[in-house]
Amino acid sequence: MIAMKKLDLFITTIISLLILVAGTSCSKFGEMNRDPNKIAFGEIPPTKLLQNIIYSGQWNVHLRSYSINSELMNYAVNFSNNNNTSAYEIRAAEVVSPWTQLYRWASSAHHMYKMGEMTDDANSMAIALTLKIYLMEVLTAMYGDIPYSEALRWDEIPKKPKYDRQKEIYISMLEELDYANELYIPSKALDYPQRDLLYGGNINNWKKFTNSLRFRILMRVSKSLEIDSPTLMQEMIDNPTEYPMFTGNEDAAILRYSGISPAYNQFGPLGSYDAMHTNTRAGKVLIDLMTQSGDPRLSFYFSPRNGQYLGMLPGQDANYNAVMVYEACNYNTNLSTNTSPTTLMNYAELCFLKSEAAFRNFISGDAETFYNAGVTASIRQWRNEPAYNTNTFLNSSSVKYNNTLLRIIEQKYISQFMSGMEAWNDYRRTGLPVMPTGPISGNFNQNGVPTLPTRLFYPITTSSTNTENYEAAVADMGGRDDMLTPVWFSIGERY
Amino acid sequence: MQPKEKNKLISDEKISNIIQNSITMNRSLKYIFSVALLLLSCTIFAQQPIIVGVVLDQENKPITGVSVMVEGTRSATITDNNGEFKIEAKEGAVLLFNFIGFTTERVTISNFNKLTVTLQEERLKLGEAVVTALGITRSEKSLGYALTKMSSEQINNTLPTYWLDGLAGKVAGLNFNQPSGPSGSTRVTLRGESSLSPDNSRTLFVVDGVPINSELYASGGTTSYSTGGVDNPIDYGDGINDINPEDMDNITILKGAAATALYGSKAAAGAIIITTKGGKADKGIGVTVGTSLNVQKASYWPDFQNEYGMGSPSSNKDVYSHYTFTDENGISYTTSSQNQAWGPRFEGQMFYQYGALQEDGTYVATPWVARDWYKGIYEEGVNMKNYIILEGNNGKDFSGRLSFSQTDNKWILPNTGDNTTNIMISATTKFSRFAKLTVKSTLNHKSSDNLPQLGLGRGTVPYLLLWGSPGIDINWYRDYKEWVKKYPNTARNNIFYANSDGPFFSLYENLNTLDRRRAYGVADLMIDITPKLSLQLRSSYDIFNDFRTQRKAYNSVNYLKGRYREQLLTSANLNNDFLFKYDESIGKFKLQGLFGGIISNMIRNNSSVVGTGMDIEGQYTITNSIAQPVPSLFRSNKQVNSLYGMFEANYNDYLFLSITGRNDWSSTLSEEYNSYFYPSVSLSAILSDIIKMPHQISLLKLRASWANVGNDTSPYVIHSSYGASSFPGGVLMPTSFSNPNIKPEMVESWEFGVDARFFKSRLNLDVTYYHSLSYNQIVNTPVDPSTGYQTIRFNAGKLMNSGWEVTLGAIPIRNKNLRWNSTIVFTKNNNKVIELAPGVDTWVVNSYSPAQIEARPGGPIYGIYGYGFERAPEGAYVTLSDGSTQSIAGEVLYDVVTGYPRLATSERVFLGNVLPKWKGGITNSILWRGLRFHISIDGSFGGKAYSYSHALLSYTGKLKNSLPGRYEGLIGDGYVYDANSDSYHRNTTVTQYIGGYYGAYYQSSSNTETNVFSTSFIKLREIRLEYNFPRKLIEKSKVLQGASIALFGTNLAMWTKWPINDPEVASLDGSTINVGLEAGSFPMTRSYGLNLRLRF
Repeated sequence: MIAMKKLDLFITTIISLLILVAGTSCSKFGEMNRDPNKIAFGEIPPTKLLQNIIYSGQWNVHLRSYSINSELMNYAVNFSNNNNTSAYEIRAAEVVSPWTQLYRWASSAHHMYKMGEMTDDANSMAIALTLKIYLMEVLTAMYGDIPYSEALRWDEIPKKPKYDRQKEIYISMLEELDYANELYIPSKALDYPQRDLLYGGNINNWKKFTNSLRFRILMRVSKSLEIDSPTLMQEMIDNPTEYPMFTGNEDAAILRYSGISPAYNQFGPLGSYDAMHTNTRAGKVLIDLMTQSGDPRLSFYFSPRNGQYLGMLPGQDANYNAVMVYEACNYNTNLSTNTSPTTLMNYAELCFLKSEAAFRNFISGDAETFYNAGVTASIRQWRNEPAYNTNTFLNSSSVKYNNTLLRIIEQKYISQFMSGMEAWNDYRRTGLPVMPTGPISGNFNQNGVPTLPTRLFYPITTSSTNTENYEAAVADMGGRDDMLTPVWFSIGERY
Repeated sequence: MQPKEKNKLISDEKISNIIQNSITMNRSLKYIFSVALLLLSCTIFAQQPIIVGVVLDQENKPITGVSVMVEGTRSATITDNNGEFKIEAKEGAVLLFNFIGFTTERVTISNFNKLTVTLQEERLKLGEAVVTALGITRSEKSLGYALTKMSSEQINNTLPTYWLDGLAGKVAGLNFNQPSGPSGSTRVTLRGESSLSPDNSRTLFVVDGVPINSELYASGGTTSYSTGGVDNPIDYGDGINDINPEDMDNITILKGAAATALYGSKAAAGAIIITTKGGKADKGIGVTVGTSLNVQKASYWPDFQNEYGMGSPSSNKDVYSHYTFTDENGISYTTSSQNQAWGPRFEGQMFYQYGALQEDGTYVATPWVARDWYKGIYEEGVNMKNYIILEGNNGKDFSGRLSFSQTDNKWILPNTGDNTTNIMISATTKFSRFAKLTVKSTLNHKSSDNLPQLGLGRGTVPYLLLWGSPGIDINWYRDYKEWVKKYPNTARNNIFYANSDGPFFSLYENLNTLDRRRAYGVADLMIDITPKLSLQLRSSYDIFNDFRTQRKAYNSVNYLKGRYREQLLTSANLNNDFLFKYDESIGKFKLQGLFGGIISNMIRNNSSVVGTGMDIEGQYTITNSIAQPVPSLFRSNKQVNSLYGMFEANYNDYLFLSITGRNDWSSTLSEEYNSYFYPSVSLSAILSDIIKMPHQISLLKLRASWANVGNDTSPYVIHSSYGASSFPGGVLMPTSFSNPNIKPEMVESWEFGVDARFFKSRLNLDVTYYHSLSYNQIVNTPVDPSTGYQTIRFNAGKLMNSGWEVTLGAIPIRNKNLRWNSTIVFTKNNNKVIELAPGVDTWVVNSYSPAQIEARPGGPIYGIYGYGFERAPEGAYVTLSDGSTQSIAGEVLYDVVTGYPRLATSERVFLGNVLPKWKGGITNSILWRGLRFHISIDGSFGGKAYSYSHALLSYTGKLKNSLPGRYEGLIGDGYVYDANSDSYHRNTTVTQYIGGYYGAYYQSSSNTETNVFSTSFIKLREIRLEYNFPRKLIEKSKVLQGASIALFGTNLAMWTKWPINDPEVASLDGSTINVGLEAGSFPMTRSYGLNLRLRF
C-alpha cells in the first residue's frame, strides 16, 4: 500500500511539473511588444522617406493648385453645385486638406532632416530642408500666420504648437535655405539615388532648386522693408558659384512620372482624381490673353470645343454656366495622363522673378532679356520642339516687352499654369493681372465689394484641436479669421 | 461538486448521490434521467417479496418519478404516474425515497402491507453549484452578483442553425447582433456597450477554461456600405458557432464586472462560460444518436409595390420600351433608368421588353406584368445535422466521452453555405489517490465552397436586387454565360447594369471559399495535497488555421480580367495556469482561499496575397496573375501574465463575503503602465435563513457587489513604427502618434440584487440593478496636424451604463399530469456618454453618408446623427382665412417652385438611439405526460436604426410609400416660406416631377431623417413540440434507453415598424460587427425543424 502511495505521488509530481514547465517557457516579456511587421521608429537611412515626400508632398500642392489657385485666378471655372471657389466662396472642407496634407509631408521632410543629422548625411539634410520649406511656404502663403517654430516636433508627445507671425516664418525659411545651400556636398553621391524621383540623385540640381526657391521667397517678401530682399537677391545674382540657380528647363523642379504604379500622375487613369471634371471649363482671363496673341501653348493647355477656344467668367449664375458648359473648352487630356509631369518650380518662373527684380531695380540686368528668356522657357517647357522659333511670338504686340510690370506678370501668369500657387501669390503682392468678378461672387469687403480672397481661413482641424493658440493668432491679426485680412507679405512700403 | 469517493463498490448511496448531484439538470427532465440511471444500475435479484406502495406529497397528491431504493443493494425503481411503485425487498430492509425538492425519507420494512409514504417538501435551498470565472465551482447562494445558467436541454432542444440564437430573449441583459449571412457570426454584448470601440464591448467566450478566439478577421473588404466597392466583407464565421452545442453540459452567463473580475482584461465586457460534458457518471457504455433538420425560408420582405414597372420619372409614363422603338406615329421610345420604377402601370398592355428578343433579332411585344424581381432568387435553406455520442465509465477510475457530429448548411442564396465536422473527446481518470486528470479536446473542420459577400457593393447580390425593378424576371439574369459572350471585353455580366455583377454571376463565378481546421482543448490536473488544500494545474489551447480564397471571374466589375486572393490565418491562444484552493472551518465560519496564476499567449498570423488579372481565364492561382502579386503580411504576439486570489467567508451558510483581486501584466502596454490591479467585493445574505419569514416566502436573498476591471489594448500600438510605402524601399511616417503612456481601459461597476422565491418556489423573482462607468477609454483623438501627426491615442472619455434586469419565474400549474413553467425576463439599459476627450465633441463610431453613429457628450453611446427636413423655426406662424394665427413651428418647409421638401444639410442632428431602451422575453413550457409544448416570445423596444436599403428602394419608387401622386402629382404636407413678405403659407405647389419629390423625401445621399426607423419588435421566436416516448414502449425495444422527437419553428411571426428585413440589424465592416446602419441586408428567415434523438 505504501509503495502504491509513493508511486501515485511520483506520477502526480511528474505530471504537475510537466504542465508547469509548459506554462513557463515563454519568450522575453519586454521584447514582445516590438512590432515584427514594421520598421521601428528611429534611425533609418533618410532617403527611405524621400520618395513619398516628393511624390505625395508635391501632389498635394498640385491638387490645391488645381482646386484653389486655378479657380481664384480664372485659369478655369468649376461650376458644380458644391464648388464655388471661383466665386470666392470656399467650403469649410476645402481648407482642411491642404493644412493636414502639407503639414503631413512637411513633417516627413523634417523627420528626414533629423535622420540625416543622425546618420551624418548632409545631402539628405539639405534636400529634406528644401522640401520642407517648399511645402511650408505654400502653407504660410495660403493661411498667413501658422505654427512653425513649435510645429513638427516628431520626437515627443505632441504639444499644442503656437502660431508664428508670417514675417518670422519667412526670415527663418530664408536662413534655413541658406543653411541647406551650405550643407550640400555635390561630390558625395546620394545613397539610393533612384529614391530621388525629382533629380535622380543629382546634388547640383538640388542645390539649384534650393537657391531658386530662395529667390522665389525673396521676391515674395520683397514688398516689406523688414527684409532686405534687393540686397539679398543681388548677392545671389553676383555669386552664381555660391548660389547656383536653374539655368534651363532641364534642371527645373518638374516631377516626371514613369506612369507605372506607384509613380503616376494622379489625374491619370491610374489615379483617383478627375481633372477633366464635367463641370470644369477654361477661364476667360487666361483664354483671352492667350488667344489674343496666338499663344503656341494654348492647344497644350486646352482642347478646343466646337473648333474654338472660349473661356468662362468666374462668379456667374446658373444660366450663364448652363450655356457655357457647351461652349467653353476644357483642359487638354494630355494634362491627365499617367505620365503628365507636374511642377514644383519651373525655369520660366525664375526668369520672370529676375525680370521683375530687374524691372524694380532690385538687381542689375536687363528686365527684357529675363522676360524673353521666361516666355521662351515656358514655350519650350510645353512644346519640346527645338526648331520652334519664339521670336515671332515674342515680337507680337500683346507679348512684346513694354517695360510694364503688367506685361511681366501677364506672361508669368500664363507660364504658371498648373504650377503651384504662384499666380494667386503674385496677385496678392501686385494686384495683377486684374481679375473680374461676377454677379454671384462673394467674399464681400466692408464696402460690400466682392473681393478675391487675401488668404484662406483656418481649418476646423486646427481651431478645434489647438484652440488657445488659434484664438491668439486670430486676435493677433485683428480678430477676424476671414478671407479679407491681408497676409504679411502682401503689405509693405517698398512698392 | 463531485460525489465523495468512498472505498466501496458502487452503492445505492452513490446512486442517490448522483441523483442529488445531478440537480444541474432541468428539474422537469429528472424523471427521464432517473429512469435511465436506474435501468442501467438495477439488477433484479431473484425472488424476494414485493413491496407495493404509493408516494404522496403534503397535499396527498401522488408524486411521479420518485426514486425508491433498497439501502445497501442495487435494487431500485421509480414511482409511476400514480405515484405507485413495486420493489422487491426483505423484511427489515430500508427503503430510501428520493426526489428533488423534497426531503429524503427512510422507511424500514416491517410488514408487506401497501406502504404510503409522504414526502415533505424541502425548505428551499440554494445549494446549486455553478461554474464561475476561471471554472471555479461555487454554490449559487454565496454569489454576490447575478448570473444566468442554461442547461444542455435548454440549448439543444431547438437547435437553430446557430446555437446562440436559441438564447435570444431568455437571458436578461444579453444582446446579439448578427450581420445576416450563412456563417452567423454574432457580436454578443452584456449590459450595454462598455467601450467606444465596438470590438471592446464584446463578451468573452470560455469553453472548459479555454478562452475561445471569437474575433473576426477581415478579408479585404472593409465596409458593408461602399456602394462603389466591389470588395465587400465576407463573414467567414467566428469561433462561437464552431462549438457543437451537443457537447455542452451547461452555460453560465457572467454579466457584471464582479462576476468576471477574476478573468481579467479579456472579460471586461462579461463572459459566457461553457462547460462541456464529460463521460458517464456510472458504469457502462451509452450511445446516443440524433439528427436534426432545419429548413429556412426567407419570409419577411419590404413593402413592395407591384403596380408600376420600370422607367425613369421623366420618361413617358404610358409607354415602355427596352430598346429604341418607333411606333406607328413615328415617335420613338427608349426608356432609360431600368433601375427605377416610375414607369407605366401594370395593366397587361403589350410592350417591347427584355426577354422578348426573337431569333431573327427583332423584338415582339409581351404583356406588361409584375414579375419576381426581388424575392425570386432566394431558395429554401436546409440545415442538416447528424451526431453520435459514445460515453462510458469503467466503474472505477475512468470515464470518457466521444462525440462526432456533422452539419451540412445549405443557405438561402443559391450556391452558398458550409459544412462542419466536429469531433470531441474527453476523458477523466483518477490515476492516483490524490489526483484526477481530465483531458478534453475538440477538433473542428469547417469548409465552404462559397460564402456570399455582405452589404451593398457592386459585387453583392443585394446591390443588384435593390437596383432591380418590378417588371424584371429574376431568371433573366440566370444565363449570364451567354450574356458575357456578347460583351467579351467589357466588365458586364448582367442584362441591365454595366456597373454591378449579376446575382447568379457573383454566386456561381466569384467564389469565396473557406477551409478552417480548429482544435481546442484542455488538460486539467486536480491534486488533493491535503484534505483541505488542493492544487489545480491546467493547460489549454485554441488553435486554428483558416485558408480562404476569393475569386473574381473574367468580366467582373472592376476586374475585367479577374482577380484572385489567398489568405492564410493562424491563431493560437495558449493558457497555462495554476490554482491553489484551501478550505477551513472555524465554528460557524467556513473560509475558503484561492490563489492562482495564469500565463496567456495570443499569437496571430495573417498573410494574404492578391493577384490582379488572371492570364488564363478560369485558372485561379497566384502564378497566373498578370500583375505582380501583392502580398500583405501581419503577425502579432501578445502575452498577459496574471496572479489572482479570492477569499470567501461563509457564516452559518447564510452570510457570504467574497473578495477577489487580480493583477495583470500585459505585453501591450509600456513597462510603466503594464501592471494593473483590479479588485472586487461581493456580499450575499440569505435573509430568509437569518430571520424567520412567513411561510409564503421560501427564500429571500440579497446580494451586492462592486468591481473594477481593466482592459488592455492591441499589440504594437504604443511604439511608433513606419508605415509601408508603395514605393520600393520606402517607408511612411505614421500619422498617428503612438503614445507610450496609455493606461488600461477601466470599467467600474456595482450592482444590487434580490432573489426572492415564494409559495414553495412556485413563484421566483430575481431583480438586479447595475451601474457601470467605463473610463480611461483608449481612443484615437485628433490633434492639430501642425504637430506632425493627425491623431494621438490616449486615455479619455467616460461612458455610463445602468439598468435593471428582472427574471420572473412561475409554475402556475403543477400536478400529476400537467406542469406549466413560465419565465419572463426583462432588461432595461440606460447608456450615456459623460465625456469624451478634451476638445472633442463627437466620436464617430461608424458612418455611412448621410447617417453617422456618433457618441456625443450627454447623448447615448451609439446615437444616430444625420440630416433632416428644414423646419419652421420657433415663432413661425400662418394666418388663417379667419384672420387668426396658427403656430407652425417644427413643420416641414417646402420649396415653392418645385414643391419638394427642403432639407437642412448643414448640421447633423440627433435622430435616435441605436440601443434599445428595454428588452423582454416570455417563455412558457407545458409538460403533459410525455408531451412538452414550448413557446417563447421576445421583444425589444426603443432602439432605432438607419436603413440605406429603404432609402434606395423608396426614392426609386419600389415601395408602396411612393405610390401617391404618380400621374397626378401631389402636394407635400407642410409650409412654404416667402422671403419677400417674410411670412409662411401653406404649401400649395403640385409637384410635376414625382421622382424628384420622392428623391428629396427619401434620397439616400442627403436625407437621413426619413430613413431612420424604430427597431422595436416582438417576435414569436420559437414554438416547439416534443415527445418523449413512454418508458414502457422503450423497454419493449430491449436496446433503447430513451427516445425523443421534437418539432419546432423559429421566427414564426413578427410585429415591427422596421421596414427592411430583420429589425435586429447589424453590418459587418472589415472585422467589426456594427450596429445602427443597415445597407443591403439579407431577408429574415422563418425556419422549421425536426430533432430526433435516440439513446441506447
